[in-house]
Amino acid sequence: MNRERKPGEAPTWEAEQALTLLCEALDLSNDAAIFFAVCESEATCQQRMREVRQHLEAQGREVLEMELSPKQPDLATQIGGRTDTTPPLRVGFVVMRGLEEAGMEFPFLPEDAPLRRRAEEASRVLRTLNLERERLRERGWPLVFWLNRSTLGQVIQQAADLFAARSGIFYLDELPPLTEIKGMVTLEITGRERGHLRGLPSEELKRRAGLYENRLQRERTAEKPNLPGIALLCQELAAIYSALGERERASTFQQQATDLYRGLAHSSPQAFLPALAASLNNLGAMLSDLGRREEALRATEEAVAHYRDLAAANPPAFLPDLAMSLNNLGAMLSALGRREEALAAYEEAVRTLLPFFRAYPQAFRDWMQTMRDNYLRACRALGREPDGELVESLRKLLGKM
Amino acid sequence: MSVSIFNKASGLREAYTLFDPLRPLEGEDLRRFYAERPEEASIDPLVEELLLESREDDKTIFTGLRGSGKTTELARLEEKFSDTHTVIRFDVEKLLNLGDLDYADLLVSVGLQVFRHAQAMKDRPDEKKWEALLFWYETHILEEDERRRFQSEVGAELNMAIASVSLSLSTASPRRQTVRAQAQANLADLIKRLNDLLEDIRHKSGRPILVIVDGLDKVYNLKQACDLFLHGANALLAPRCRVIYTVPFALYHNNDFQQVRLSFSRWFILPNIKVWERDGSLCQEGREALQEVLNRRMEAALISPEARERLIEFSGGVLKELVSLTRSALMRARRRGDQGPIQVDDVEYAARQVRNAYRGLLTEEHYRELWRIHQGGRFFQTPIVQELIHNLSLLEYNGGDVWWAVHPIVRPLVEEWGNESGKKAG
Repeated sequence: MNRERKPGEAPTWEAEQALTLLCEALDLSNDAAIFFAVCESEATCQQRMREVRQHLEAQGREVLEMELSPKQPDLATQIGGRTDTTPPLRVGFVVMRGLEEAGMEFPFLPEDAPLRRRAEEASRVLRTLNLERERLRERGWPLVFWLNRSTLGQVIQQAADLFAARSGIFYLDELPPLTEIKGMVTLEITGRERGHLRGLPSEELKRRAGLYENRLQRERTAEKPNLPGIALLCQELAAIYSALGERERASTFQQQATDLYRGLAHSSPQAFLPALAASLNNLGAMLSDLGRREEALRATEEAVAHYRDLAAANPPAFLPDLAMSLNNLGAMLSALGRREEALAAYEEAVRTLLPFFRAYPQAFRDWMQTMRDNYLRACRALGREPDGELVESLRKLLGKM
Repeated sequence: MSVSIFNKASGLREAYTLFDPLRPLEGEDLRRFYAERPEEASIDPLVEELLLESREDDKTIFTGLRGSGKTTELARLEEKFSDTHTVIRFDVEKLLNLGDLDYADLLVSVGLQVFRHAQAMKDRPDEKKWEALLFWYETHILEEDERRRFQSEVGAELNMAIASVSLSLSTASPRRQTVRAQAQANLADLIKRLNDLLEDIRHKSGRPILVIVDGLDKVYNLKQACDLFLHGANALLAPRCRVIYTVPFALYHNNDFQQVRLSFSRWFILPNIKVWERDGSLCQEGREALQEVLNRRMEAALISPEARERLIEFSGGVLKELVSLTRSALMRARRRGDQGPIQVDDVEYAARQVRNAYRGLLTEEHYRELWRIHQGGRFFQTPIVQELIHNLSLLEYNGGDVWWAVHPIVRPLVEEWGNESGKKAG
């Protein structure tokens, strides 16, 4: 693959360089070797796989694609079942799916809770993979593991020997720095939730955290646990730990709250669907904060879907929430390089919030400013002209303030 | 076992082949590429102890950080003792299911390896002893076609039969449970027959027998590993020969394991090679040893002196990390031609890829603990510390004085976190 930069040509992206290096490394590998190809989105992954495959096939090499996931947990069997031809010419592509939750622990959930089962299953898949390292080596193929950043993190912990034996890690997508995404999302999501905590000294926050955790413990072990109460406590603890900067712990509590609200909304949607949507929204922001972008996107997409349903039934009550959620969705899509979809989400967010901003400018000013900025940034990223009428009316309204 | 075709790489393409993190040094490669470890990180104390030991059935626990060179050192140990002992070394990672390992599985496997060795001996052991062990396998473990192969005089046939039994112990087949149940119920009988054969081999060869069980350090479930040694201690101590068992490094630090440790004759931690001293000054001896690892495998002209220093620094003294980083860096350097040389930028690039991977792993709790230790805080055996040691973001240096340091590739992340937290607190 000739990807040398020509004189005068714009600098190549780091991802382009990584792609070239991966191809060259595979060219050098006629024996077993382990590579990690990191792509955040499935679409980018497929695109990059196509490019590497074309490169290899042009060299006369055969590519065998396999999946490693809770549904397809046994890689050695998949490789072992292949018809044997000329081993040095082969390269294995292993697409890793559904393994991001491997490191998560949910001791508070019942053993058969789907989330807990999923996490345990994902851990088992990675640990088994670790033990198959020797057998994979004996096959003599270079293996490229296609995975996202969260899964790679779990590989370090759960398949540590495999990671230690790697020949290279290649980041094949372009992502804005984490700090940029955080800035875009945090204001919209956690501002409202954390409002009552703002300005509290950290000692007070810690005191409250201790208090609530004790209460949570009591509630959980009660003969008849008060599930809405437990969900609320989890939500509150997530907000406190988020305010304390303990992001991992915050997201764990937020996840617990979400799981509980999901169960509650299932049996009583009218009462708990709004809480579930809000919880998913916060969870998305927290996961994004932790760099777990695919999971963050999934949570936010679900929040948007719920807010759409809620807004269809009661527009004044839920359209602002839908707008906020759409804005977050735009940020997450943008972080994953899905810029067209991001622009559409931002634009919808602005248009949804606009009537409320007109009616209550003071209340929605901060939100609207952020959404407008995100919308303009997304237009610039795609080289598009923003909607002139929309921008002008926003300029006038914001200018008055 | 594949052997490298090059003596020393004169170009980066050749160097790529020689810096292979999947392949420990063994056989001919060991002679060509092995670089002596610094005295305080070597296995010499263990060798001396083993030589001084008067018993011929002592049991040793052997451990060390992931990637510190354990398999290579065990291969050296095999060579060192091959003149005075009958050495049987094998890797359970290839033979057993480490996700669900039981002491009975392990003993069945040891028995198979001893049987195989006895079959290959020029001066065969007493046929009765040999057949007595075979009879145990025939009665309790083997299926019909395996029985025929076990009785074959052809080595390849026997190897196939052993592979077949091993496979049944390694896969999640119903047969594994049957084999295990049979082995557990008849373990005392297996041990007796195994010991009779071991004694006869000892008698015929005139040498003590040393069995080296590599790969047990890969057992990831610490409770399972602890149970293996706790509940199976009597069985694991029973073979009448010298045995070296590897164990997971984190298990060694586990409180429950301390009791188990006492049952064994000795334990040995392969010390990580130091690249700096505890007070932060450079450890010249360690750096020279790591430099020799690079020099043995590639011409000095292929890497700039600054890049070499940086590679050594980033490795933290972990040999596999050094090999892996070198491979990554040289791939980038090759873009400038096969003679490179590898420059500091290439090494920084390789390290950055690894650092970014750790970003996806480390949690708030990890950072807090790493920062505390980085600031000189005391070391406590907590589950979170065990996780950090397991994922190598925390390295232990235990040649003489024992101390801990954040992995040099991870250190900037921890410092970034510490500074941010400091700002928030301030």
